[in-house]
Amino acid sequence: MDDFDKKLYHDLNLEIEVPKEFTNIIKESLNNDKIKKKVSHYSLTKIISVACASLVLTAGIAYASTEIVKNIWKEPEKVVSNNNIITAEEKAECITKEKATAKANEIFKKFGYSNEKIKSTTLEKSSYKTIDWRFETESEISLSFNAYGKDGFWLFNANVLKKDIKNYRTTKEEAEKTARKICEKYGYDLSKYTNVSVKANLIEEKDAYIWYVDFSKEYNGLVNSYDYISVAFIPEVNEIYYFIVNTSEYDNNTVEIEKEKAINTALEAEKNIKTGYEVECLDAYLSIKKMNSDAYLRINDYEQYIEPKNKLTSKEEIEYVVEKHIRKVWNVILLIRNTNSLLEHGNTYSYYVDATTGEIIGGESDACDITVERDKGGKKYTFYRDYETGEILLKEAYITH
Amino acid sequence: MEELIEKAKNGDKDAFGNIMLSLEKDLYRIAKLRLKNNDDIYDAVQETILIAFKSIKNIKEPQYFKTWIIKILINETNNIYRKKCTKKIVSFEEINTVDIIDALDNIEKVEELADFNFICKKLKYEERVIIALYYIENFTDKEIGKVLKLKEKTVTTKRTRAKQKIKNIIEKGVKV
Repeated sequence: MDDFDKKLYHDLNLEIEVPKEFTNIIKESLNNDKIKKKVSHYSLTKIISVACASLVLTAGIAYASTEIVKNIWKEPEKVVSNNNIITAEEKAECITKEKATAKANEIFKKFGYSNEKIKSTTLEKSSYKTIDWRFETESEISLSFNAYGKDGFWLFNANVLKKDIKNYRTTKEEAEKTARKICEKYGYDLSKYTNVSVKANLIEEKDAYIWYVDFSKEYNGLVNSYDYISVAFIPEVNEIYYFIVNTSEYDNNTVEIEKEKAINTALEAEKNIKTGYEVECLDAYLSIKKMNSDAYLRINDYEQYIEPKNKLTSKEEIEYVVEKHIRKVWNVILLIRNTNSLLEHGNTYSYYVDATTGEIIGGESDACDITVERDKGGKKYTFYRDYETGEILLKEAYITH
Repeated sequence: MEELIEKAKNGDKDAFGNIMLSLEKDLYRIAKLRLKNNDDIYDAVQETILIAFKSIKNIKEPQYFKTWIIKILINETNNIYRKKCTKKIVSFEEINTVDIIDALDNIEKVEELADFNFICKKLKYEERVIIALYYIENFTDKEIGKVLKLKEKTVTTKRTRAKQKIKNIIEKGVKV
């Protein structure tokens, strides 16, 4: 059991308040006289009126020209990785501790933490060649940034959560304005970050006391969720909880592949993996995604994908490393029915089909929490929650067979 | 517990009720992994109790009682969840504003504690169940596999991935 296991055992077993009514229900459930099937208080009276939503995103499809499109996908490099050990080769590529410390001090100073004393400096590895420098001050302000010198950083001030902050309030509109002012104050130009998301720490925004504002870059209406500035702060006192600058190089590739073709590519790939599963396409839309090896492994070694045997030892494992590209893709969401598992009524897999080359350049399992049902007329509706955006969507399913 | 189970098998409602009361926090947590509305949770647990009491006679291995009851509860929460999803009616205008279906959206954000609310907010349903059964109920991967009808190795893999996900989120905040 590692330290993180211990943390999970501790945190997850913290007391949870069980409503008194719940106890009463248990006590009374077997008392026939008192069993009353509870009627939920939800309003179930609204009628589904699903308008045909034509995805505007598809409007800009450029049909394949005669120009030969170069492939972007390369087979992943199979490497043995140990996240506890940073190899000499990896370390050699990192910026030195001195340079990193200078950068950290510069950032601390910029955000008004120049009096902070650095308590610890560590190199942290999360996967093969993904290494961060991490600094923590005596008053628990932490800062991490890419150890290879890539722009961006993650600055957290956990102290603010220990203060008496629960009475500070603002509105959504004001929160955005405040976040903009904070960015401006620290010299961050938001003119290219056109997509704004404002969230509060409580559903009842009037009671919220932490506000999270994300500014992301956008390309023709597509949000690049890998290139953003995030600010979390306490209103009224405007104290920063965290400030994140995440940068990424986006290929900004053109759309040469039609939606139908992308869907077929994904369906073919999935249907060839395993027989006996029902596969259908639920949706496909243009999106900006990072290349990954998930779909590659799924397609080429399904057994390994489902039950990885890549743990060489308790610490070492095989990783499939791909080139770092952020591309415009058709995000093709497939519903895969496997009636064997209790929870798999809603299993999905999303294939990232490159919008320019038509290659599968990545994927993600269960990107949506999904429920599919047919109404009386046989029409199929699908609810799903996109885990990346947090959006809950209702769509008519795109049925291909 | 085993004595109470024996009594319950012989039709003793009080004994069965006492077993259920001893598990109330576990039952509430498991139901809340899927359902956000307390009324739905009450429905699910009520159904679970009725089903379980009817079929408790068939239990041959009392040590697996908890596994068995959790399995029934997960089934019931799934049934209610599915019914809700089909009955909940939304117009397209509402889609982006109304919070429907998922238990996740009525729960406070918890930023650094990997507590129960945190896993409800940040993990996919299957991951939530696996993590909760492992760390809260102290189930082994084999037992979780029995509940979810998954191979033990699959559970191990999914649990490891979920754990890494929690770790990433805690260490790096949002958008990892």
